[in-house]
Amino acid sequence: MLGRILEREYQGDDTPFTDEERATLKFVNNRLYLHKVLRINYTSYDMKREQDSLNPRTHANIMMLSHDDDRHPYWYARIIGLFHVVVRHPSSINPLKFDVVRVRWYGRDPDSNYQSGWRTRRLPRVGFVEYTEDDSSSPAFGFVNPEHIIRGVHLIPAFHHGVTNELLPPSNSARLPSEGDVDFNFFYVNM
Amino acid sequence: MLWNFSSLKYFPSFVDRDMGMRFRGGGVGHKSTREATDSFLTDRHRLDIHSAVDNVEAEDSDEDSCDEEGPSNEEEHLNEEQPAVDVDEQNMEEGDYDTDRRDEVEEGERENDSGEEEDWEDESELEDEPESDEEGSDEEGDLRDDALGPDDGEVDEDDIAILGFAAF
Repeated sequence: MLGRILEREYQGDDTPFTDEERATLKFVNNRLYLHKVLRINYTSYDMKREQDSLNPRTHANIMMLSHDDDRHPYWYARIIGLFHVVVRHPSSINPLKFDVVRVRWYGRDPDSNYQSGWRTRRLPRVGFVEYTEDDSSSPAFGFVNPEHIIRGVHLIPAFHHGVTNELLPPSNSARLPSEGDVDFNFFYVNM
Repeated sequence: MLWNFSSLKYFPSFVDRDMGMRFRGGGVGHKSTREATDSFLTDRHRLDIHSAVDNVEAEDSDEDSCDEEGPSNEEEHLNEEQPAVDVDEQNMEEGDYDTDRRDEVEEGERENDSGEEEDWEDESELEDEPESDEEGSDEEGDLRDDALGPDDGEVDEDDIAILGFAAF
């Protein structure tokens, strides 16, 4: 959020802010305003305008441009919360409104033997990033500027690889009630 | 699209044309993500490459795609194995594509393959054979790699112009 006010270039969630920097940001009335649906406009390959309607319940998976050195150009994430906030910052006289998407990140399959793409005739495979208390590992959750979302994406659970409860402890906010306390190990990105 | 559905363990269907192009690269409406997705332009199955080049040949047989780029890594690799192979530009312009080339591309891929993919490779090899019988000259194996090699890091704009539109 602070990065957006200061107009820094988004590089993923790695850019740290100091506590002093964070303290300059004040949430008006200490409120988050929840939303049900996010609609993303995008340009299709043939220059037509398209819109994806996304929500945490039924169309939750998104893709955005990758900001690391991986050969694969996209990042994938599941929307787990949509809200807007109104904040005050010394850089602006008026309160600022921001739309924010809370996501749970998918990571690329760590198995380096798995190759995807047209040449190998395999779909890209992703799985949830494992949640750890350790700050140095890649975060399982993040906040995303909706402007960075390219469009929704269809992820096919890899039923063959089964489910696991090791990626995240039981959570009411990150999973749907219907999912129980388990996640699929892998998903295939439908393309 | 030249997917061989029967050899896949899951059945893919395209989400829509736009999503297909997001992963294919080169969509005119995808200008904002163009730079990041250009790497997809070299990610082609070998049958795909064949059909793309053949289309170009059909449209414009004078097109000379031999001198586009220097040798790729994979090509050097192939040359070490088979030093007897020469580049014959005359044949290239006449538009003959042949069995040898197919086999070489296949070999190159197989080196990169991981073990789990061996089985479907074999399957698709069988499918190739009736096709390749029709065509018949030698010694052009590496030209194909020059035009659209799977390991080429970059594709010239010319390459995209020549091959891209035919492929799409």
